Amino acid sequence: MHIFSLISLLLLASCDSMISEVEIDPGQPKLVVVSYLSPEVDTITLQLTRSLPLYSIRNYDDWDNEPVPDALVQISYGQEAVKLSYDPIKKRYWTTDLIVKKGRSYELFIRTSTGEEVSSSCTIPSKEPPEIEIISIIRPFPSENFRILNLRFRDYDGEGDYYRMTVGQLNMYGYQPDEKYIDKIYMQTGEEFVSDKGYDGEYFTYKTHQFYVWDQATLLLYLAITDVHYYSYHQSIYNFAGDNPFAEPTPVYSNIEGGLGVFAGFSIVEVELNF
Amino acid sequence: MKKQIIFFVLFIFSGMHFIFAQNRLTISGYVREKGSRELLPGVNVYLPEQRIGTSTNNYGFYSISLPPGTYSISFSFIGYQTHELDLNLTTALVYDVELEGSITLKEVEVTADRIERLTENSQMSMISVPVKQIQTIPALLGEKDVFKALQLMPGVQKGSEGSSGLYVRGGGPDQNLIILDDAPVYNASHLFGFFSVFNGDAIKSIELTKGGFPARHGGRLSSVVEMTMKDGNKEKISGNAGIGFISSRLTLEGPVIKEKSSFLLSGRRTYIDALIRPFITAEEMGGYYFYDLNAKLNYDFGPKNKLYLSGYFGRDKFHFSSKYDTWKEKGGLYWQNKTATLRWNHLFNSRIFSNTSLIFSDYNLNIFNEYESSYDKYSLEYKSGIRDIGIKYDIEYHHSPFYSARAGAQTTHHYFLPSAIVETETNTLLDFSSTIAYNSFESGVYLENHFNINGELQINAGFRMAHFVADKAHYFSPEPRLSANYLLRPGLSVKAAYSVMNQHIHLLSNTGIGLPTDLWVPSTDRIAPQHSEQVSIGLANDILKYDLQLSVEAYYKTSKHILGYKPGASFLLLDDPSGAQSFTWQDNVTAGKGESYGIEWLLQKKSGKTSGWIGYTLSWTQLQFDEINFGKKFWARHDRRHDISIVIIHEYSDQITLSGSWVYGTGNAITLPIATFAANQHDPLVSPDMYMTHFYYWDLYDYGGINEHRMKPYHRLDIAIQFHKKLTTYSRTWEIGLYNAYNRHNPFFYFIDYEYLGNHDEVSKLKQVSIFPIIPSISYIINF
Repeated sequence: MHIFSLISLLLLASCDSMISEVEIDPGQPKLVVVSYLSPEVDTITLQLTRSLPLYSIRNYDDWDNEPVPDALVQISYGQEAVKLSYDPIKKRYWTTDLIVKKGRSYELFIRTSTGEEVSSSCTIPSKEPPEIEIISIIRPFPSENFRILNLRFRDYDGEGDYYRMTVGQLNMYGYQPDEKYIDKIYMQTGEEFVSDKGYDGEYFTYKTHQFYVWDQATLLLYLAITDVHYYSYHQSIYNFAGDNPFAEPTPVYSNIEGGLGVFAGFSIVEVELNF
Repeated sequence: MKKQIIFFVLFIFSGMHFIFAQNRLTISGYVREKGSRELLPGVNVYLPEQRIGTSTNNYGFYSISLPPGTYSISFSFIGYQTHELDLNLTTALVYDVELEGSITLKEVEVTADRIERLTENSQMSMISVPVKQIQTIPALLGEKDVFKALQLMPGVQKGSEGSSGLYVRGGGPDQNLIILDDAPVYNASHLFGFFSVFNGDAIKSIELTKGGFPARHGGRLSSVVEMTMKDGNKEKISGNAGIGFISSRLTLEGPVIKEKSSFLLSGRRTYIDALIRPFITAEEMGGYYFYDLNAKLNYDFGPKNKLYLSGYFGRDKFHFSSKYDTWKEKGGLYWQNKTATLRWNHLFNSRIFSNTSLIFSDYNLNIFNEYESSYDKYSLEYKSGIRDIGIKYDIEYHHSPFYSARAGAQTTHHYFLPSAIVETETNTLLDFSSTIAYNSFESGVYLENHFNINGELQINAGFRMAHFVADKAHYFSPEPRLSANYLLRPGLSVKAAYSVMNQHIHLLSNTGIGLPTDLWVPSTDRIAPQHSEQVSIGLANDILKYDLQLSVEAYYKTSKHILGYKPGASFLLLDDPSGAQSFTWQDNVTAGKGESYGIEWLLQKKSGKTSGWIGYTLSWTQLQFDEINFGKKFWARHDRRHDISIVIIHEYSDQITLSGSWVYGTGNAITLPIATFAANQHDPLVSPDMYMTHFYYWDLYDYGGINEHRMKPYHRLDIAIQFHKKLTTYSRTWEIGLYNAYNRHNPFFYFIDYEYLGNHDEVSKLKQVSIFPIIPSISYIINF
């Protein structure tokens, strides 16, 4: 806003001599792990890269956040352990041997070829996502072919539930005939990631922005019930304020011991709405 | 809780039995300054042979009851000649005293047993800086500031460069109760915190208590800053005026009815909007100003009744406007404090003194923006603030030098307005208004018992019961207060104190920059009152030979339910006030715990040709919030391991005073990014097989933990020289000062700068911005 830029101009010395460099040691790179487990997906994938320390020289070409191949990546349930193999084309680790079931807890262990180790664990929610109730579909402008969708779902009783509500519209004009593209529809009211803290047993209500209906349209509603790691991680990225000097710093949540990133569990349901 | 209440009630009643029903005669009266007849609080009334004494209260009243006999009583106060009284006490006596003040501290005749004795006072953890010393300490741009002087004391730290906020024993600036003539002041800053709103010319006394709080004070966790305005010269019209770089000030005081009634008027204003000069052109205009005004009127009906009316009004305004052919815009922000108190002193008899106060205090912040063009008209008005109306009753009972008691009650209605927004735009048919307001009542009842056993052991046992009701919330907070002083030998005493404090109203302040976007909010059913417990022990030594006072104090303080912002929260939501999210501040804050401990050393010389002090504080302050730093303990931003202040005032001659101050502080603990990384987000809209290749190249920051990094240490030397000249009807002083005399570039904030080196190489550097280089100043002051 106009006012605050003037204020900061006032506060900031216009004199270059009032700006000086501060000595600081650049840190060590850390391992970044991202992986999600859900019963609905057969292939488990995992991204493994390294963080780039600040306050040292970096080369643009390094910015691709090169993945770390040749690492031992293992997910286990109790005594059963499954090793993930590295796919150099897709640049990720994967497996189809792991069975993911509701209520189970999984452990992750990674050791790189240089001896760095990180570990983590997560639990798949034991309940299925709640039922989505369509409250109404409104046509805001009678002469135009727009719609607004009102929906809600009810939180399960008992605190400690986390959800994600995402709505998309199937894009009819994709590049390839067999590839599905979904455009996100944003919400006027209602948060994408919610926790039931303080709202136990209540309804979470959503109202979308208007979306255009051609001769026909398909809406896809995704409701996931997630664990605390999934929620905290995405919430912290959503809040990430970056360089805003007026906002509190926003550390990105991580449940990776010795590293960054997330290892989280969720269960998702997809509901199709045709117009 | 019940047990504690019962214990204290029993203790209080059992204490009463210590008092023998002796035949005692009371000597009482008022102590005034000779000439102006200004009532003097805190004057020592001491009987050296019996080793007993008392002091005048806030209104200059003292009372001491003794068995019949001959006594030698001395009335002493820093900056004044001691008055001796030898008498043969046969009947009750009303004895008013006039103390002769000295212009300079050098003139005070110091003799071994007559200076103010630190060791005699059971009140520990209290700082009082003589207002005369504050006028001499060199200050930024020559603007004498009572708060900046307090920041030079151990246990009290300043925030960022230039800020006048007080951080007392690990607590933030929101945890200080700042009262001016009984009225709380909610935003004590001018110019974003560079100066406090208190004009030293209008202040008679200032006392800061940082621990061992007596039961009569409550409502904030960390400190009580009690300021009393001057009443006004009752003999003749007098005053002083000053011209400085930033502001000019004028104080006028004088009698309305000679010896009965007087007034005081003191004002300050910035007169050159020099700070905004660069921005002024024909089309663009902008400016900044602040002003403040202290006013007081009092009437002395006689020894039994006195009436005082005081008020404070102050405002800061920052504004800009643009005017072109096709459009015009204006906007700005301003904040203001208004306080008013009506106080009535009533003396029931020579031993019982009471005061009733009616209190009003109002603080608000306004941000406005208006834009008009040929096809659109937009206006935004944002207001936030707090308004108090209260009543307070205090009663003192001076039974004997061995026992006195104080009791009272207070209730305040708070009207909180965390936000009131009105936004309209003709183009889009926008007409949005939203007001969030709360009404609440905050009350307290207290009882203090002061025992003096054998002249060696003094105990102040008190209890305060606080109550708060707002919206759906209802809180009772019992607060036991205990402090003791044991005289090991003359001139050396050991002190200890324990106090429980609660704070029912909260200040939400953004990352400590001290911007006026600070919000005052009440406790609610979801936000509990903040609570702290503090235990302190100390040693006080009066080194009479050199007129020095040494005090060493160690403290340990725990607090819970303290508020902080959730990560990412920002109250600068003015980008889109009518946006999708409704503004519920309760969702943006989170509660946590604090732990703070340390040792404070102070060596002080309050009078003489050379005076001043050396203070050193070694302290630790840690916080723990479940929702910040993922629940791990972290250093508070204002955690300052070492804090040193050295202040020296030397009266070279009657005409020349030299002064200097040097401060050192460990740097603030801040959160800095240490690395960037990219991390995938889960996206349900991308097919499961695809989403893992769909990399989101966020430049996310790895901060490595909250407040893990220390800024560079802060240190600064200020020096000043004053040239005095006394003429027949007035006296004048020229002051030349140098702020930051060796031009130390202290960090104000850090930012990351990226430099491109060529060949696809880039380096990020951590840089600091400093705001105050060496700054000279000249000011001119006259006293008449």
